[in-house]
Amino acid sequence: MISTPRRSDLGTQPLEQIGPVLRLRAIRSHEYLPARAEEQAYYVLLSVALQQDLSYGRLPLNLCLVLDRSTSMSGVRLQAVREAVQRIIDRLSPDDVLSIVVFNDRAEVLLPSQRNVDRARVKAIVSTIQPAGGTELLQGLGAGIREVMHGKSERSLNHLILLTDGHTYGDEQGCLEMAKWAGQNQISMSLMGLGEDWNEALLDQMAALSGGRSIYIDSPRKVSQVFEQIINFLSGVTAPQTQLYALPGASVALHEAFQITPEIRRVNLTATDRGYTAGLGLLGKDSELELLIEFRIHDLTPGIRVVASLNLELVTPSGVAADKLSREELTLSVEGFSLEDPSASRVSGSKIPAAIPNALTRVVLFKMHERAIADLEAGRINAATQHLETMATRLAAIGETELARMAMLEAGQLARTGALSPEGRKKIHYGTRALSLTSRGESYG
Amino acid sequence: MVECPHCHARFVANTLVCSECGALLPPGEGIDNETSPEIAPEQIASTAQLETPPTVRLCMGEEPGQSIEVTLDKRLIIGRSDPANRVFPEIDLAAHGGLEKGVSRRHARLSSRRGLIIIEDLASINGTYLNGRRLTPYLPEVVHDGDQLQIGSLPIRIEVL
Repeated sequence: MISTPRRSDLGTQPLEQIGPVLRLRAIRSHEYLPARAEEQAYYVLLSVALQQDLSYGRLPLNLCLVLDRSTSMSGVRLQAVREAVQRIIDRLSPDDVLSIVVFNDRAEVLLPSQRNVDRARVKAIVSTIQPAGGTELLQGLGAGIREVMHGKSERSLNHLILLTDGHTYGDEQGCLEMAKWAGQNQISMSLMGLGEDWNEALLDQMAALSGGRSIYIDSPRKVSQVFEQIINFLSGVTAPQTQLYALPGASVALHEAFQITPEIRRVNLTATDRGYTAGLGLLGKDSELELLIEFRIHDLTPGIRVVASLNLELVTPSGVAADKLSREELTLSVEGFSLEDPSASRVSGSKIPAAIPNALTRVVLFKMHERAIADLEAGRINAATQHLETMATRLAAIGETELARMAMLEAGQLARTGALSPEGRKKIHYGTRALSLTSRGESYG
Repeated sequence: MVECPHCHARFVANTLVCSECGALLPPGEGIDNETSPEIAPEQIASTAQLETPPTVRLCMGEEPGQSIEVTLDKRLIIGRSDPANRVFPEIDLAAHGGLEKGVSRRHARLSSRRGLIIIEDLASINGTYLNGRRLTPYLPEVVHDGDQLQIGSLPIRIEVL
């Protein structure tokens, strides 16, 4: 569908495409731009959601819990995990598959992959978990993925929930490769770090490769709540992957794309013959995916220019392309106007919807944090400190006072000691990713 | 190209937010701000501050060499240099007994906004005092000609030139 440009004083109008399964909505930065050779930025905030009254059917879950039982988990942490697991078990349907793996420096399958789990028996097994040993993530991950593969069916939604509280050493590359393999085999992961002593960069990368999320749990009290949010979310998922295709028009380049909700992350696009593509992960029935895509338009001439066509489609659990019902397309266009045109003053007066600079501000904060950490890791303490201070100022300006305070304290700590506090590091890392959630209420994770 | 009014970084035309300092860039077309309470009007105003930045003398004593003169064309860190940790504040009090007087490496920040001179404590250990009153960390306050600052235990008189 090609939008019909409308002259309006109320700002650009959102474009909507409502299909039987998917709903797309695009808020554009501009409907009109001056015709000129110079490169111009153009933004679109795209939201993707499932139809509310969808009778598309729930996918049976094929779930594996991979739980760290290293020595550091002893006491309240392990107790919290036991309770969280019981909550998950209580929420399973008879056709769901469950397996449980515990690991320290080796892995043990507590519950082999099975349907129709005997709740009382599983609860008894879980209550016997004893803490010992160190943390080797790859051990647990490998055993967990094997169990998921056993339980996999043509229709199942395959997911691995991993919880750890320790640094893993020497097996990071193996973990990344395994996460990538999982993603290619329709197994997504929720990776949870409890406390402060684990590697957020590793869990982040693994989550991105598998099409899942990494989650920071600062207190054992929150473990149950997070497990419950994940299981609620998974129960509303109708497809294991949402695929985006973006095909830019003539003399238009796709500059970059970020996911805004459910959390901010860079969207890594791959070039194909259908344009750039990226997997956007799971889409639940009450959740919404929001993307901010920046295009660069060159040599704009008077008249209508197609900026890009955006295709969204759900991928079925067996990995094949979706049916026509679950595929929607939107075409973005912009009208170039000549600055000599006497009516140009009317169109150039149209306003940019505030949602765009708001989303962009969050993306910029995310990037500043990325740069601060890169500088810190390269030993550029002054530069890292400055990035954190700038972040703090901007966070305060958008009303994120708690995170602003944390960033300022950490900037001071960094300048004095050359390092961030483990807690501050985690809170800022996950705080900047969750910025989009603050004004939108609860979401997954 | 558009230029950020705050940090002067340059971006492609129509870029909306400065990726260096996070400021909203003056839009060619105006932002629909009615639905966005978080964008303060002062951030949208496209009139860059045109006034010349103020020049300030920080006097640690009456002798020549006991004062530092700075132009507030950007935000300046007051602190104590520590080459081993690569800390080099713009206003370096190391030579004025900074270490003994309890000056932090990054102690406070001096800047100007709309012709006003602003001091902000950066959560220093020994505090920043303005006319005898300890400043709340990260709460900027206005400084006037003749005001008495204290960085740790080092007294500094402010002269606006």
